Amino acid sequence: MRVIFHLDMDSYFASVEQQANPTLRGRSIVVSGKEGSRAVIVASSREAKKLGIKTGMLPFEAKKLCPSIVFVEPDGAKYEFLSRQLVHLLKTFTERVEVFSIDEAFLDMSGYVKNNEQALSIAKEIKNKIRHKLGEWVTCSIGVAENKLLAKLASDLGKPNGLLVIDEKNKEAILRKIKLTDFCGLGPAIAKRLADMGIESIVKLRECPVSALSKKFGDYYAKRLREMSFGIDNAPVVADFEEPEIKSVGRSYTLPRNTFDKEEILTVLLHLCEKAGRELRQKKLAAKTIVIYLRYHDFTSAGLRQTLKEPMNSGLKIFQVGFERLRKFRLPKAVRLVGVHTSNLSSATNQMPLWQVERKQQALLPALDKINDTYGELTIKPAFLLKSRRLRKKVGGFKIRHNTRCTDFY
Amino acid sequence: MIEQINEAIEVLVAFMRGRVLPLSFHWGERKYSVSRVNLVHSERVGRAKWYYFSVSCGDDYFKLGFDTENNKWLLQEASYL
Repeated sequence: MRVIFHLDMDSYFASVEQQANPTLRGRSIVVSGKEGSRAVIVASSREAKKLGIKTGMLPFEAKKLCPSIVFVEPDGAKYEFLSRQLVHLLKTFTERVEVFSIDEAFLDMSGYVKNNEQALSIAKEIKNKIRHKLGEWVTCSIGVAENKLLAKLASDLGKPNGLLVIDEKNKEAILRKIKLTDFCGLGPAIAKRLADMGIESIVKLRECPVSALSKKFGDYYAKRLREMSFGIDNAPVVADFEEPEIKSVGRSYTLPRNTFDKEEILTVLLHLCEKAGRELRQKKLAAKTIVIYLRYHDFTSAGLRQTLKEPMNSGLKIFQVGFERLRKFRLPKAVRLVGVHTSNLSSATNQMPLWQVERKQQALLPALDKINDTYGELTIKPAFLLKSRRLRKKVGGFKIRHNTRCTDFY
Repeated sequence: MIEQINEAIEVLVAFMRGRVLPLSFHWGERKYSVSRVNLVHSERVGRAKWYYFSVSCGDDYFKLGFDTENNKWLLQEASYL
């Protein structure tokens, strides 16, 4: 018997802030940049959600819906610390814990429970221990099912602070009741394409021949959609000791205001390249493919992609890939976001460079890293960054997004 | 309203059951007695490890930071009536 739990923290960042500061409890709060800033809302409290305030909204939109809303600046260290404590706690129940995001995890409880009653009992114990360990205001929802797809669906349907089991008895009724977009992995874009085919419900999806779906979505996703409609999912819970190798490292930053100022853009870019380079070195990796991208105020993008002859992990060298072209590039629109993405990764080697100047640079990097390890990030940095302020750490940035719809600078 | 303070303070603590428990602190010529520790978390800042205690003193909220490298306390933020 396969038993999968999906655990999802309720309004995680906002709940943690309310846990830390009781004066925020019972109030509509959002975790976001300062009021009036351009940063989007990264989390809203249960009270704010009831008013329609959602993640991704801009602060002024939230303010319009709730004039008394409280803005709390994000504290990534706090959320990451509690998330690590949570994973540590979950691992006392099973070694097979898949961290899905900073506030979500799958647990493979197969072999530890024999029936639904035992599963419910353990799920309640997990909820209690979380309350005890993280605080009374930090709650979670748990979904229990035979696979990850249904377990995730169950925890979503049970929110907030819920516990729902999907088994053979209620599976059919639940699947017939939900919307297509309730499935994890079936977003609004896919739902729209399905709607164009006249498929707006699970029943219709089941009736549609796989061949028709294949024409629209390809063989792989057509099969996946069909399996979804019947609640089938054979994906395993991938524990951290089985995780695939890291594929890319990147950083992006939304500027405080739209700008045409090249110096500001280049400063932020160097900052991001230094951070990406440092992460590559910490992971003992080097990248061959570098993408530098800009997002304009109207959310269109432009980028530069270059695959190098030799892999590199120096922030300055990554920056140099884009520097000249970006410097000469005439910006058609004001820039909203700057990003760098490195991929085509391989293990960093200590091969001695041919030229003396490069040898010196290579020898310098470990020394700089050691200083920054001891005294904090960017204690020692390129002179170009001396005037700039440290960029805020990305909250919940376990997975760094990269905009793939880029056009070249030219 | 949460106010950023970042002032050095002195804190009286108890070491109990393997934990550090802030009991009271002085700030602005006033003594604040900690009625509840709401959340504790830590962060590495370079070599230094900081512990943060989000505490309540009655209806007021304070975030105290302890720098283990220099054994110093900092009142980081407050929300008080």
